[in-house]
Amino acid sequence: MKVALGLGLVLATGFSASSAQLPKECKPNSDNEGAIRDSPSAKVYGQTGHWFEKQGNLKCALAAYEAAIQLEPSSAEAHYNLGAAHVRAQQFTNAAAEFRLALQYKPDMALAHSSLGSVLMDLGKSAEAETEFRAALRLNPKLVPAVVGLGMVRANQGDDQGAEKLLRQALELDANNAKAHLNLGLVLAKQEKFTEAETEVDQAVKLAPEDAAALAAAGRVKVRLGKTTEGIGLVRKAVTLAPQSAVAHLDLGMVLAESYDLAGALTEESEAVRLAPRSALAHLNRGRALLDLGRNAEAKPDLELASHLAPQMPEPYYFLALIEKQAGNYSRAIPLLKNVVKLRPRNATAWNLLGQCYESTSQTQEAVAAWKQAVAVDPDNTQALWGLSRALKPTDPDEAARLMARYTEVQKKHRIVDEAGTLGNDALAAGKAHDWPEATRQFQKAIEVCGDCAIKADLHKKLGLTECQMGDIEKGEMELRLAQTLKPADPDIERALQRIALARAKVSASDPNRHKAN
Amino acid sequence: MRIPWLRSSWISSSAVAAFILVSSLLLPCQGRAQMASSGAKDQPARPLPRGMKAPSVNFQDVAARAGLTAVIVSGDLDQSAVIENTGTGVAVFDYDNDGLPDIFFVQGNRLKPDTTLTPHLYHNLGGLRFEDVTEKAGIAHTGWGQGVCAGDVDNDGNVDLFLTQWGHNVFLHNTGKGTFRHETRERGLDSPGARWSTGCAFIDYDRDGWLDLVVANYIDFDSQQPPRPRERSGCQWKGIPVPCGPRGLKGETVTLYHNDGHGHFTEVTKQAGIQTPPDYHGFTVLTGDFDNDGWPDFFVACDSSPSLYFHNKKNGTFEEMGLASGLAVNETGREQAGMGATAADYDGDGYLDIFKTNFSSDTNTLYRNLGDGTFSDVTTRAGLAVQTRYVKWGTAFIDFDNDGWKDLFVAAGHVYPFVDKYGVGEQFRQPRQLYWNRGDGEFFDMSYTAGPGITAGHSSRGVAVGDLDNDGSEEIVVVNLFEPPSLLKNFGPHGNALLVRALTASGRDAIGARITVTSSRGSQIDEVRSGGYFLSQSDFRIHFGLGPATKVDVTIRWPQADTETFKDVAANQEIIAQEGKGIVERHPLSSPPSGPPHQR
Repeated sequence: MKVALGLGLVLATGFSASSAQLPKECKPNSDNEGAIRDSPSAKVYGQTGHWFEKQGNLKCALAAYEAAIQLEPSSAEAHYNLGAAHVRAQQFTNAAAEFRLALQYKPDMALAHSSLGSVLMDLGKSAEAETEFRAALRLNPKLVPAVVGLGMVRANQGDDQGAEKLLRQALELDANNAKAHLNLGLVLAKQEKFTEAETEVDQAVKLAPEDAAALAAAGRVKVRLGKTTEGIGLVRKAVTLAPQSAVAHLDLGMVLAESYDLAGALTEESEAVRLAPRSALAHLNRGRALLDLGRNAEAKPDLELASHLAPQMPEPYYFLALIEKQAGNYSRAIPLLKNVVKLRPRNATAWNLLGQCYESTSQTQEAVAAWKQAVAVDPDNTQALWGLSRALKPTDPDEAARLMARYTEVQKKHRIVDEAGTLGNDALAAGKAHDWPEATRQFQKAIEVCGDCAIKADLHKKLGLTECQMGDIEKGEMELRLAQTLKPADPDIERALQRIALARAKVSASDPNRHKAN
Repeated sequence: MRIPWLRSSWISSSAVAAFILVSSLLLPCQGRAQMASSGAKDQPARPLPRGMKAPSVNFQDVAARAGLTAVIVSGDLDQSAVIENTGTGVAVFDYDNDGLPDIFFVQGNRLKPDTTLTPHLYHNLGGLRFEDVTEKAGIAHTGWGQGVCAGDVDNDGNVDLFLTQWGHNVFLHNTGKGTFRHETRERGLDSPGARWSTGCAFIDYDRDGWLDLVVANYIDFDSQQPPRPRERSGCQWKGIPVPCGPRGLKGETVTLYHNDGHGHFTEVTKQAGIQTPPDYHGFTVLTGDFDNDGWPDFFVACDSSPSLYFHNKKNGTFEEMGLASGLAVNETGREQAGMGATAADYDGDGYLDIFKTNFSSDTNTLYRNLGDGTFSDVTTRAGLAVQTRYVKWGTAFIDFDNDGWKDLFVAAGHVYPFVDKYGVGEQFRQPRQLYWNRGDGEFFDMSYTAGPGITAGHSSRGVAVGDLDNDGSEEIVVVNLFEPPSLLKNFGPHGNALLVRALTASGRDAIGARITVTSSRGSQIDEVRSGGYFLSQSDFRIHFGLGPATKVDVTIRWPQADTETFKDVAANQEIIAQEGKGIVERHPLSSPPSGPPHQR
């Protein structure tokens, strides 16, 4: 995981020396050229490096920063600037070395700790990164990049709520920090809170309209929200801004795949592979696109390479197993699926497929064990329940019957959700047409069909919002409160209730006698 | 900054989840597809074993020159309601008893009803020439037709028709004078309210000698708001606005009518144990004695809900054993979008097996009858987990090379005519599929090499088969939506054949009779059947491919269980056997086998 953090130029002050020189092809502007000629110093080379960076000439910027270090080898600022330029050049190992040197000369340089933390994140050294971010925050508790960085460490550890809290804290310190908005958006998206995520990534794009990462993130979120055309447009813009970025092409490939343009996705994933031939993710996604296109034989080498490049990543094994299973090579699929469940023991789908492969090779005992794992992880996994019931029938008919009854019950639950969902969908369609009474009627019917089904909270929420649209705030609030008891963490409900409270307060304020009258 | 949320979620939203959220307002359940599918992909094509050769096959569509020109509609091209998706069936039956099977095409309708639309009855003139006699036969607009099944309900020797409809079903009584009379109400076959009925089959379930009737129903529109048109439905499939359903719409049940012995029917759904919760979207009714106990059972292929299997308890009642038998779902426990169904003993073990067609991104399903009341999904093992990208409908076991092994034909076509313009890799018109039975439990996909009649793209629905020119090789009639039908004839070489028409003592086609043909190469079984395929009816005469055999023994187990055997029956003829009277007629087939019998 890369952490997007601001790396500002730290202007060095220092000695002058005549030994430092820029390569011939690096021609600074007249001001800097004059300064270098007249009084060369680390500071002047630092400014020159900064100017080169602004021109997009990273190679000359690096040369200028190196020249600054030649003039002042113990300048923490000069090492910091070179490190920051290495980050921009994606040379993370070099960057880390420079930040470490900066800290050697100035151990209390909070920004260097923070930037080193970011680079360590890029290098996959999350634990070391955390140490650096913490060190930065000890020195400067309000250092926003360090708060953001620590948030991303949390996200990387799977602690999305912890990450969200830190990122929100970063935004309290600096509401206009584009990176904090972007990362918060991504963390929310990871939790499938797409509506909230959209607000954050939109803000990131507003603050940094030319930031390819922000554009790509916004695009991905919008595609997930069904705003396909808009989303793809944003990711395409990101690719235009960063045509050499494999990540941008990967993102575009993914959104195209999600909008069923598999041929387009394959083109983008292939470009990502060309730009980053050692990227496991690029190979995985190209393999996936080929697999979805039914070109299994072509998908296999990419997926195999991905598993070789990132043996800790379960997805390549999973897709390779699917290929083998489809071809009827169950014994080849088994070790692949075993890898998946070893890496992701809570992947019920993989356990279920493993059970199916065992059963297909007459290893019923192993199949039963795998299906039991699937059901333990996901008690509603109908396929595992089915397989388990069939496998146990000869030896344990009572248990088999119990499992089959459970299977039937889960299927019934799905049917109820389908039916209630369709009614709810009709209600939404009526709402879109501003036919609020019809929408209300359909939601009420959906709630009746649903009973205690999985979408009960959503239905009450939508009904509540519809009642509010109709102007019946009392009923709307009642439904929303009911929804909140079922889904306490739902931000939409919370927001709606806050708005209701606000509206009431306004009414009370504008009519002080209202309470008395009531 | 890159968090792998899309990457990881890409796994969970694989091809299995067929569509994505359309707006932030939509509910979580909208992530489910309108039709059930497993997300299956094709298994790699399997080459034939060394030394085994596939036959030469050349199916051509001869409908136009045969005079089959009626256009069948199912709503309009810009379909806005689920009713327009399902299409219609076809019947191949001999309405005038002239020995040449005729063809009846069910007609759909439009949302703005068009009373000029009628079903079409084509009289077989011989030599694969047909005349449209709809008007002459007194057949007019019936409403919005769906399926058809045939049977002689009053044992008068004339085959009657039952038409399932969206609205009220229709019984057409064959007067025996070349005309039909609408007698639904008088026969007790009308329902109090409108219903959406689909598949049907006549079946003498209590073996009293009178044909009873099973009717499958699809969606209960009466108890719910009519679904919104697709542009306002909020439902999507692969990002395309589509009409909602069948998933999420209220399901239906199966209806059973008992014949009182005078051609009058009484509904006995509850008494006979057919009543189920209204959770099923029933399509094709497929009858057969699946457990070889001499009593007819029946299977109902259901769309996006578990299929149903009613086992006959021999006392006028049935027990539903879909899940227990393994027929309700596929081998992994998934319900599928079942459309058509056909039965045959494909592996020669003496038990009828079942083949069912399903929606796209799913395989068809071959259920092998294990003989103990259970079935095993052997689709992958049999080499049939292919052609998954098509939406499959009518299907028939048909021995197209007359080698004695039942092959498979499948008609396909998307449900959404507008799908072509969305560029999601799906077409409304889709090619057919043909699978050759290798005789070793596996099938060989010949869809690309079986002639233009197979490779041509249409949006097909109902399928019926019959030897329409009595030459020993069966033809396939296919309903194509919004265009004339196809009549597929195989011009490839084929082996010897025998056509058997089995009549009860009263002189009607002996629906439920089990016919066994035995030669030195083994035995084949089949049954006289009403319904099946996809909402369709095939010729009552049973066709057996005999390969090189020139003589066979024919055994008929009559519906009421008596058995008769006819020894040394010569190949390449049609025999008509009547219960208790033996072979009453013999007719040579019009042309000998074309070319040497195919050698495997």
